[in-house]
Amino acid sequence: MSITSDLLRGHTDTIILRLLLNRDSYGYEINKYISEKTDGAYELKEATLYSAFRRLEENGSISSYWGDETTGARRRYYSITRQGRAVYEQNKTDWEEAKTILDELIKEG
Amino acid sequence: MMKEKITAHIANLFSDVPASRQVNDLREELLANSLSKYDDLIEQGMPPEEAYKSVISGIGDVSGLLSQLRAQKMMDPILIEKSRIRSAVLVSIAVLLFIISPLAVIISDGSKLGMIFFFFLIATGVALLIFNSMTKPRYVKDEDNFVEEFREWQVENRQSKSMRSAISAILWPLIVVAYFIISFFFGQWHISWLIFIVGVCLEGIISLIFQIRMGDKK
Repeated sequence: MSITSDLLRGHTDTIILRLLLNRDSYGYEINKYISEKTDGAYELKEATLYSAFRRLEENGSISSYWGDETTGARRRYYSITRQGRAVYEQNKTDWEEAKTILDELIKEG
Repeated sequence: MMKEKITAHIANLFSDVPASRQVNDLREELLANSLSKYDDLIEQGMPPEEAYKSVISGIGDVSGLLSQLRAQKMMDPILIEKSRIRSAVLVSIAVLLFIISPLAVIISDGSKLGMIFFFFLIATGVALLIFNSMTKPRYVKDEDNFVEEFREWQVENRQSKSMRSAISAILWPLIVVAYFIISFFFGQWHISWLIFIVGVCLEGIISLIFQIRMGDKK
């Protein structure tokens, strides 16, 4: 499992970008989606998630804005930028390539 | 109340981080998401105590994130290099102004306009030096501990001391030069010595500026 989660963590940015392609979202919603989609097998730590947000925001892949919740703390929403879409496409291509290579190297026979 | 416990836990996580906008934003974001998660878990029928534990363990290790935020407050090398160049340019221009300032008097043959121009050049030079020293980025601490604070204090002290003595070193020769120029060109020996009193005032003003600056930082 630890190798799996290491591998997955390496693609946190891409996963986040993918989710933001559909619509703007906030931290908990993104994490919940990841957890549900993987039947609870994988869930990001909040800390990992925010590190990724900061990183993506810094390189211009996403932008953020505060929601106008009337009750409780404000949520911070993220939306993907045009550059973010390009990064996503690039990462996806890279991943496909890596997958092919790994399959070739690891498979038996 | 579990929600208060969550709030307190998060406040505790951030307790030793110097406040800044980014830190506040992160705290608010973390709080909002944690409370949303808690509400969600309760809605799914999880007992409050268990939901609380799940939320807390879901936060994970924020120390890396926090030190990253601290690090952002530090200078990156490119900025340091840029400010070093800027500082060098400002000082060079100031020195250039000091050197060419007597030319104003010499060329204008000691006319009033030349005199005004002479002082204008010097004043501009001094202003540049002061501006440079006031806007120079300081050593920014990366760890909030005593050693770092001491080092910061030391750097500040050294910086302003060397700046002060540099200004004095420039100021007095200039005043002497100005004294002779004014006296020889105008022959007003009986009054031109007043420039030394002006010099003392200038020196006082400069040291006052430095003291105010030091006071601001405390």
